Amino acid sequence: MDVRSRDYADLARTIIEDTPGVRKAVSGATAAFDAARRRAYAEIDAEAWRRWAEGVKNHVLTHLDQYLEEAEARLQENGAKVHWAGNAQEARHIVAELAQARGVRSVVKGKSMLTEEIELNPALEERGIHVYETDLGEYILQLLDEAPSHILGPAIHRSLEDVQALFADRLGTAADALPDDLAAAARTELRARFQEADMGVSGGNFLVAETGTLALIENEGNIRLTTSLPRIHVALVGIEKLLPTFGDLAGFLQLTARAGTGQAIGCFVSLIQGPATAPGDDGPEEVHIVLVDNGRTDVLADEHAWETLRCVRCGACLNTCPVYKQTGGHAYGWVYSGPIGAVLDPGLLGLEQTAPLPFASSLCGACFDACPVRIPIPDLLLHWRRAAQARGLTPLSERAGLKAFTAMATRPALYRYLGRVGPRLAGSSLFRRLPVLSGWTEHREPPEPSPRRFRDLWSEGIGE
Amino acid sequence: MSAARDATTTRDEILSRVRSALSGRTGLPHPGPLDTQGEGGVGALSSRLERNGARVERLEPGAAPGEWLSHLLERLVHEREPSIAVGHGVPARLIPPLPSAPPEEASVGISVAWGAAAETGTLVLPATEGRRVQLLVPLHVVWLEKEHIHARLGDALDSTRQRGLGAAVGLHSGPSKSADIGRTLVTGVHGPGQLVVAVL
Repeated sequence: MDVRSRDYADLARTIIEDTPGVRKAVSGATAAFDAARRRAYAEIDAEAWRRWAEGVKNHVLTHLDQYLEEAEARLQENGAKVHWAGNAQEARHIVAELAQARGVRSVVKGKSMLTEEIELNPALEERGIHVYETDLGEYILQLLDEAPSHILGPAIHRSLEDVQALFADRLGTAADALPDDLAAAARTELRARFQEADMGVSGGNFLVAETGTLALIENEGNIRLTTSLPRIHVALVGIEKLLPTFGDLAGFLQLTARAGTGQAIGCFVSLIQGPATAPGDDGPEEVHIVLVDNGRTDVLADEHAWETLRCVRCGACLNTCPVYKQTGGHAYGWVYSGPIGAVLDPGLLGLEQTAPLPFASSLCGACFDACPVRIPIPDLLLHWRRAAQARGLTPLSERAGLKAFTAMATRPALYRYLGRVGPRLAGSSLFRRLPVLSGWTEHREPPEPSPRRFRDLWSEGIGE
Repeated sequence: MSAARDATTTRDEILSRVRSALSGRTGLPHPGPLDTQGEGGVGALSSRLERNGARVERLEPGAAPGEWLSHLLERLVHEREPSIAVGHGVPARLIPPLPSAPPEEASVGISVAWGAAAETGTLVLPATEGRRVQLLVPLHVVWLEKEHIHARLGDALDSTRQRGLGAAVGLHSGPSKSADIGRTLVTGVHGPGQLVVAVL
């Protein structure tokens, strides 16, 4: 998808003003996810599990070359074919060539953020291949020609009414059909697509180096069907998705589910080693794993940002973020949104295209507390802000505001004076027009500043 | 330049970028196994599976499994003549006396689990019995021997690995579900909408 992250402020404003339903739908869905995650963390020693997962991922990332080679060797022994793609264009080319060489006419897909990242669907469609998204949320978005707005719930920005209208138009369901009937209509439609597809395309949650096991987590069963029914299975996997040993899987399968949806584990997990050969196994004849870099080695080389690569794409940071909640994912202008997008996108795409994203945060720190692999997102937001600052890429209002703040803060007398008059200005029209605050007060009542200055409270002893 | 050579070059370039990114950085140690301290037994497994939306039934002592399952299905399947699809290698004594049909058409699929994990309510299903029978039917019955229940998921996976992972293994922990439409929970979206675990 085109990168529109530079327009973050405009995109966010348009979503909030023109489609108020999005804020309502996203706030409701993320609040439910977040509450479920909190309950699920409370059932386990979440701190110990998160530290363990952080440790395993740090280990694998700091030995990534060895584990990539080990995974490749095991997969080849298992009869799978391993491909390497340096960038999005190479990844698209590999899949499209595979499909064309094998006379593939239709492809079913399981949900995969990486295939969004590399824009796979248009590349296949250009060659006359039909592509069907089979995750219910992704299917809705494909019919609407929209991008996913959340890692786990791609269509959470759409209401029941939206889907009722869409399916009435496209699948002939009743205008007031219930979710059960709508899902049944989609199931019938997609079941036929599963049966006729020559190729199934999936992503990958984890790739275990020790056994060459690709692990996929889901709740609907469409990924199991995608990787089982068509004669060819192609999985696109980011090089950071490796786990060292088979013994690591149990912990990661559980922690990812608890962080993402609050479940003990996804309803269906596929552990795939290679193509079906045993009598009785009706799985695919060919399994292809495409290992994709596309900017990940640049992130790995960054002494701060490399920690972003621990991400397991659970969406917990989106669900707990007060900023993401207001707009959903589309405002961020690219595939990965919310707190993780704000630190991952600058790493993968470069700051020139994404500079406003690290500023789309209140630095409240909730994302770090939710993250199952303890990515220091608030620190990384500051890291990218500093980098943007150094390169003159900060948003205009931020720059003006910071300049004014610097001028004030470096002149103690002025600082003290403004500190005294500031509270009196609050609520006045001048206060609302101050450069740093106008973006905030345009849509809200300004907070009442304390009538007494922090400096005064401090010298008197706060709270005494 | 041949396509094969291109592929090798890309591979080596990626690995060399990884090595240069890591040069001068200390390799961090693996933290060892995670102790999840799950509780074992049929009771723990049942309560987790039921939370996940599955149904657990225990074979009555002395009952013939096939006949017993046939009676159970009479209550669960609201069809005049339910048909069954049976996994490759399922023992004859576990197959109810009902007409058979391919997985695409059958109302019930019959599987035997290799093992289970109580802490997550997970059944381990080998691909060697056929995947369609586990996926295309509206109701999936999974036979499970009590002795094959592990407390922890890690132990269930270890024992699966010892038996052989084969091409693929499916872990099923509840019926197919989605909340993608208006945040309302819907079951049976793509996979089976009902999961029945029959404990032997």
